[in-house]
Amino acid sequence: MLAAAALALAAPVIGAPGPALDSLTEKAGVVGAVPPATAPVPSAPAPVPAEREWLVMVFLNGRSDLGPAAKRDLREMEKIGSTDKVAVTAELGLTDDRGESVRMLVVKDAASVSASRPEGYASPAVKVRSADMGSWKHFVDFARWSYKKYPAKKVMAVLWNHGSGRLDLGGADNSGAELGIAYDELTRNFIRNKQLGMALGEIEKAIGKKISVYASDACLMQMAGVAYEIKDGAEFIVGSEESIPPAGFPYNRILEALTAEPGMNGEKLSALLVDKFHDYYNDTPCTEYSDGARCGATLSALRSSALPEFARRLNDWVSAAAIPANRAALLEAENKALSFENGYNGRDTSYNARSKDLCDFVDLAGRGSDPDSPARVKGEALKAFVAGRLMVSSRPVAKDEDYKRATGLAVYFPKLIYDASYDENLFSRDSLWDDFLKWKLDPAYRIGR
Amino acid sequence: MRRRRYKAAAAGLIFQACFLAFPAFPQSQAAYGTAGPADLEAAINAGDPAAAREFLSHAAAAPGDPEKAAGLTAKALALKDLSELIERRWRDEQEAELSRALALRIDLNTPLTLMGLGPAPEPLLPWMGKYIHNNTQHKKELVARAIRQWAATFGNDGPANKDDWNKATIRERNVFLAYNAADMLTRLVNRDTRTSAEFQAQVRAEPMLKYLDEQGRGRYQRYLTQLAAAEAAKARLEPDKLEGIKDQPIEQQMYLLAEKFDNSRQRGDISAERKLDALRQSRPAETISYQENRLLADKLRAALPRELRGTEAGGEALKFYRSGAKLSLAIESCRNCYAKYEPSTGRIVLDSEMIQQYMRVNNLTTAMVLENAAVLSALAKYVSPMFVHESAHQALHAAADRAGVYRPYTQEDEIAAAGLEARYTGEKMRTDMNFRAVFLNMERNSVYARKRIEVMERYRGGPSKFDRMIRQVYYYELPSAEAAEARILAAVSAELERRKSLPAAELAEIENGGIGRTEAMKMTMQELLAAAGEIKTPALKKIRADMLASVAARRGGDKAAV
Repeated sequence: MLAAAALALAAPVIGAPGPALDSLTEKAGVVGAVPPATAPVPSAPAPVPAEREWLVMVFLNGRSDLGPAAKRDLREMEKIGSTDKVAVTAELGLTDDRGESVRMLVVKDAASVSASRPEGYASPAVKVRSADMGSWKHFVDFARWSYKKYPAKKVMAVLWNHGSGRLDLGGADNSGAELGIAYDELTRNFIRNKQLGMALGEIEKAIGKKISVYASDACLMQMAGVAYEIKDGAEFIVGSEESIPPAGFPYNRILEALTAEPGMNGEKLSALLVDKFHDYYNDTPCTEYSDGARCGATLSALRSSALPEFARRLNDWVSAAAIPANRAALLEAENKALSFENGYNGRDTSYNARSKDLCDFVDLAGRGSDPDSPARVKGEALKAFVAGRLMVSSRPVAKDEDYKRATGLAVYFPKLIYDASYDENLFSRDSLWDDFLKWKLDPAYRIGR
Repeated sequence: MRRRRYKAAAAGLIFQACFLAFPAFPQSQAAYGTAGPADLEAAINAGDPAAAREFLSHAAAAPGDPEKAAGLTAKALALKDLSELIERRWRDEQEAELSRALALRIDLNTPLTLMGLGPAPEPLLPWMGKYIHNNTQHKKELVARAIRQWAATFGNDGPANKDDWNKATIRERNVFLAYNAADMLTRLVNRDTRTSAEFQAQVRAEPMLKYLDEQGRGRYQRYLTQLAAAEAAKARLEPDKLEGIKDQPIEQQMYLLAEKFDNSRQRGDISAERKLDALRQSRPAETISYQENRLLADKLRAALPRELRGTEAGGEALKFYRSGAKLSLAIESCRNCYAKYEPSTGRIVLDSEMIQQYMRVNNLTTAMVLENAAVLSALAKYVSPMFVHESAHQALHAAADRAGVYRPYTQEDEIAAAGLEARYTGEKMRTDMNFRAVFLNMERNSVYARKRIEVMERYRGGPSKFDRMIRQVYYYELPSAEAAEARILAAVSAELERRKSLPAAELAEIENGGIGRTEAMKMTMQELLAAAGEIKTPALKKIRADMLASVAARRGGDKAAV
């Protein structure tokens, strides 16, 4: 017999324990998508040209405590909807959908976001039985479905859910949480970073073109290891170094701008995402409970084609900097570098691994050293490359001075224990960052062994 | 054929069996007892497993209409499978295993729901009273707990709305419970610094942790083992040596404690060192870099066939590869497994943590393994049982591909693969003293090594013990062949029925742009269930025919397997 008190001690599962099970009874409203009589019924989209300018595919995995936020974001999309130039598709999975997600072409709904849409959306939808929202193959299937129905010259894919960025963990004697994106609390599955790269590759094969913009509307995903893993699957990668506030991307603002100028290219759209995100969180309190305070939020867009050169320049810096004489300065720089995960506020207080801003770390490591020293010169070259070539745009929202130091790309920084599976990343294949981390933890470690 | 694979393996013929063509639908017209087809159908619809068994044992009982036959076969398979599952002997401590096994079968959109058994599982209890012969009080209580019946789980007062709970499926209830349990375990692992015997007893007694899912249970066992090892190691150190260690979470304690025992000379310290090394994470010099990983995989790919030579079971695997099958080996973190065969890539993946653990316990670095042939050979011995196991999976896939049939991944696959592994391990333990030494040495420190020995011993215990271990201890989260066939047949039948009323344009969209046969045949069962609505009709019918042929093959005496 399980004492009720024992469960009450536990953190919420699918929302709080009560609502989680309460929500099981709401399912009928979700899958039917029958608009209530009080709100205007959206009309079916008019016939459209065979190929639009843009297809925006949003994989809304709301199978976690984020379900209500998924519905809100979908309603934001419905403020604008699809046009004859821009198709917006969504797949919505919720903890109360009993395994049946819904797919839809998002259509404009004249009712306000707060209007009574208990289902969470107004667009006509089709059910997908036994949908595993944590499966990379299911993400591919959604993309294939979207493109087949709504082909376009350019494609943006958005993965919406929790994200954990850093690396994959696992193994026979599993030692902790595995990391990635799109956690499905019903199937207990999620998309690992390596699988995300595989998914983008499969999507390219299925639709016959590379995704122009891939965006993670999820926390902590804009990391060197993640971006490098998926670089061949998308021309531009948009994501956040920091946790993303619950409201996520401001979809209505983004789609309003895109539908007003549907001819924009991928680079411009990726920069637009960053601008709209920045403007929204600059204008908006972090949460309804934050007394008007702003979030420390980050979003950046990077150019995938520049990642190999980035790795080479990083290697130059590692080779020059990781020498015994610099060790103390590097460890001090690590301690002071901007750390992510909102709440830590730049101060690394955890025993566990943290992600930190790469260029902030390199900048701190170089301060006070001879401007002509090899490490300083290579560090400056790396920073310049990141700012001038790799980044399309990076605009942090500064809740305090610390966040102004965010430059758009975070890296893995284990505090005591290096996660061995980081070695399996493509970034570890091509860069010396894994060696640098091992040397940081063990001075006897030989870089490039 | 699937049910008899164990026997095929026992006879040393698994790979040969895989080369045989899959059986055709037999044309038996034998009588099927006194009940007529209509009576059987009515009894099956009422949930009678005896009628289901009767139906499945006689081809002539099936309706002539293939769609009706498929629907009725799905129901009969599901009922037979459920009754056999319940009638098995389940111990009290196997509540979680039984729960997961039932959750596979009684869920949304499963064939049992067509007979009133689900989605909510409570109707199972009166059904047991009516149809299960050994429906003891113990079994009733155990099943009530396994289906997470409200009163059996919470007593009078639970943390959720009782009405909502009663509408949920077992899977949904388990998700709720497992999430809370995993959260509690994560907080213990990441934050708690205690390791005392008293604390260990508290953790063991924590009722919520019994609701962990399979992955969580692995973490829990590791945590308990770590606590015991850390406490024992700390007892061997002076208090001042524990500064900076004892206030850390367990993973960090293990890592730091191990440094205190490096290069130990005393017997007790050596034992502590090995335990700590087995249960801690790797140091930088002990990890396998990307480049070393490729080199090591290449060397193991060359070493493993040498290791298999001279054994009958290993010889079967070698014969399979000599016939043209590609041996592709990779080393990766395997997510809660020791090895896996990936049909999509054709690779056998060995778990990198399993290999690193071996290296840590034996004070080896990757460079030493790569440079020293004897060290590499010992590692090849260590991983070879799992390699043989996965080669059996590869052979099963290859056989299905050659025969052009769809086959879901089921417990029967694992019975075959584990059977071959057990035979191989047994032969090596008898004939290769170095192999024996590797496993006896590692058995004390590695769950992997202990499980290989256990599989071997259970196999020696006879078919029924081995079958029970696979189905109830190791692979309870996998469906049996009958359970899988039932789900697939039901889903395909429902989808084909739905298409009868689809507008022509929608139907044409599926037939023109839907998923074709080649792609559909590669899908896992879960993917197939999710994508049924998008698969072209001929492909669905082909899969249905394959499932019915498999059912018929069992009825026909399973001649292909022996």
